[in-house]
Formats: sequence, structure tokens, C-alpha cells
Amino acid sequence: MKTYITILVIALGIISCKAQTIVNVNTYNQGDNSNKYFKDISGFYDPFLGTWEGNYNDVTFRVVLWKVEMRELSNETNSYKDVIKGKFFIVENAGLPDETIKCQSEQYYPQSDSTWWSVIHAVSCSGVRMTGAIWDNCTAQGIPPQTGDLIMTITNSGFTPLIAHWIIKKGSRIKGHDFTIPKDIMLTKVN
Amino acid sequence: MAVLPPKPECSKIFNQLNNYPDLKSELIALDGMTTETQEKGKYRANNTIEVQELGTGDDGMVEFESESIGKYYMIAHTHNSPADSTYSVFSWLDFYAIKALLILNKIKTSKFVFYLMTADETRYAMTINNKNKFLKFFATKLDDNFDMNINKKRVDERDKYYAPYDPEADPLIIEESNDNLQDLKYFLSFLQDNDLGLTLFEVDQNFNTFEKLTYNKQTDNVDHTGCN
Repeated sequence: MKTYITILVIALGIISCKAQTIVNVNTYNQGDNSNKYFKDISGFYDPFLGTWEGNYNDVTFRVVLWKVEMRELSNETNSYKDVIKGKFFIVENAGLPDETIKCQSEQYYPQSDSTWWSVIHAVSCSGVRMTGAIWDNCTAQGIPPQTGDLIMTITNSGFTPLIAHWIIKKGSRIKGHDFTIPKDIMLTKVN
Repeated sequence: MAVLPPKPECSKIFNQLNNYPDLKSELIALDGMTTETQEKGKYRANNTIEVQELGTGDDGMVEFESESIGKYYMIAHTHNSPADSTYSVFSWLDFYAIKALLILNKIKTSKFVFYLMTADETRYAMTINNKNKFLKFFATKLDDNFDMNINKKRVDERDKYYAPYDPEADPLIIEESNDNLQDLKYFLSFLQDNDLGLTLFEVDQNFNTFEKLTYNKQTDNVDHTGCN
């Protein structure tokens, strides 16, 4: 009897932990999204991962991107997706002994008792263009964080160092509210 | 004859139309501007006597004032031509504008109506029936009502419904769509599945008829409930 119960428990466990079908990340929203793992099978994310820098207004804009594998999709049933996450720094005297970070996206907020680790959430379905959402939480006092659509396009695929065109589109509709980080800049992959 | 109970969200619309004689003609005039290649907008607030025009930014999008405004009672804007490159429903950016104005205490929720007229020839009115639900869904870590699970859901829902600029990312609601009914079904699913605290109405071209819209997943139909 004990053996039968054990087998039953194992069988139920297998059924409840139904495996996902592994599919390419660029097939999301093409049919039923449930029970799938939208994986970066083709390595589309790889060129974007790392540290990127560009200069504007006498400071350096530094972006760090990393991949999160098999992130659970909260709005689907038993589904997961590889995504690109990221953070940014606004740096004075980058690379010099007196390098100073003027602002960085990774900040702790006591009101929610949480740290904003990642302000970029993106995917790439081509290895050339990355699209997603970005938050700018370095805005001035009294102005809420700005959010917009991020498009990062590599302009010299296959070359070293990689260069990408960084564009933030459609920011705030509120007059006078804008991003502090650049909305149109060329970035070079430095690491 | 039985008297139907008042419908609070419908009342917001009709109270404004009754109290502000210029409102209907201003909305009809704005509806005629959807053929233009830039967005247009109008508003009424507690410190304005008549309906006022909103400015358009360098990117062709209407900008909502915040400095000089007391509290908005009404905001109306267009999604401009051409129809195959504009949303037939409210955009993700529209939600964030409302969130920002609520955070800045610039919206009188008990009166507020948010109108949209589009080059796709759709006309909608939206009201906020539960401000707390709306703000909780759009809360960031800077907000004291932040919830990590809801935050994750919001990020995933944006990807699913609105992620733009990558033709291979396949968001459900796209600017290029000419299928207004399908856009509406997706939009209502988004509102209802996330219990956003918003009520959507379809409006006729004369701004006389207002119908509350809900998506019925069982029948795959949009159900219309008349306000009038």
C-alpha cells in the first residue's frame, strides 16, 4: 500500500510540474504562450550583453546589460522567457582617478523597502536590434521617474568594438517632464 | 416604472456635458482633427472657465500641462493620422500620463473623463472608478504602494500588449493595426485581467450616446451597456 501511495505522489508531482516546450524567443505571442520557455536559442542577446559607454554634456553615460534566463512570465501559464536587464550610470571623469558617479539607476527606496536593481527590460529578436522599456530614476526632485521605449541598434555587427545607436522614444506626455539620460546617443561596447 | 440606480461612471460623463455647454461642440471639433498629422488635445480643469487647448510637443504628441493646472476634470486628445501608424485605443503612454497626473494630485477623480478620438475613427471615454487599483498597478519602487508581484505583472503585460518598435516582438496591440474590434478586445482584456480600476465607454460621433464596454471571453464579444 505504501508503495502505491509513493508512486501516486510521484506521478502527481510529474503531472503538476509539466515541462515547457522550448521555443525561440522571437515566437512570443505567436499562438498560445502557455507551457513554453521562450529561450534565446539563437544567441540574439549575446552582442548586447556587457558594458556600453557614450559621452554627452561632458559626462559619460554608461549602460550595463545582462541576461536573465528563464524568467517566469507572470501573465502566462507555466511559461518562461529569457530577457535582457540593465542599469545605467552617469559618470564624471570616467576612467580617471577622480571618476565620480553623479547618478546611478541602482538605488534603494525606503518607501517600498526595495532596491531598483534593473531599469531596463528588453528582448532582441535579431541580434542587431534590442527593444524594450527603460526607466529613468535620476530625474530632478518632484518629477516622477520617466519611462519610455528603448531601441538599441548595433550599427557595425561583427566588428570590434561594437557600436550601437541608443534611442528612447515616446517619453512623458507631461509638459516639462523629461529624461535626464540621453535619448539619442551612440554607444561603444567597452567590456 | 422602476427607476434604475444611478451609474456613477456614466454620471461623470453626463454631468460634464450638462454643466459645460461648450464641451460637446469642442469634442466634436477635436474629433474632426484626427486627420491631421500631429496629435491635438483639449482639457477642462477646476481653474478654467472654458475648454482649453493642449500644446503639442516636438515629437507631435500632445503634452499635458501640470504646472498651471489646478485639477483636471477632462482631458481629450487625438491619435493622429495616418490610421495605419496610430493606436485605435489608449496607449501605454496615456496610462503613464494619467499615473503621473494622479501622483501630482492634478486629477479630480470623482469628475474626471479621459476622451480619445483616433484616425482609425474610434472614439472612447474612460473614467477612473478606483484610483487606488490604478495607482497600485503602475506603482514603482518610489511609491509606497509598490508591490513586487504586481510590478512584475505590469512589465510582462507591457511586453504582451504594447511592446513597440520590434516587428518580430509581436505585441497584441499595434499601431499598424486596422482591426479596431480586435484592438478593443485586447485592450479590454488588459483592463479587466489586471483590474485596473478604469471604465471604458464607446462614444458616437455626435457625442450623444455612451456605452460601457466589457469583453466577454466566453463569447469573444464586446458587450455594450448603454448609459443613456
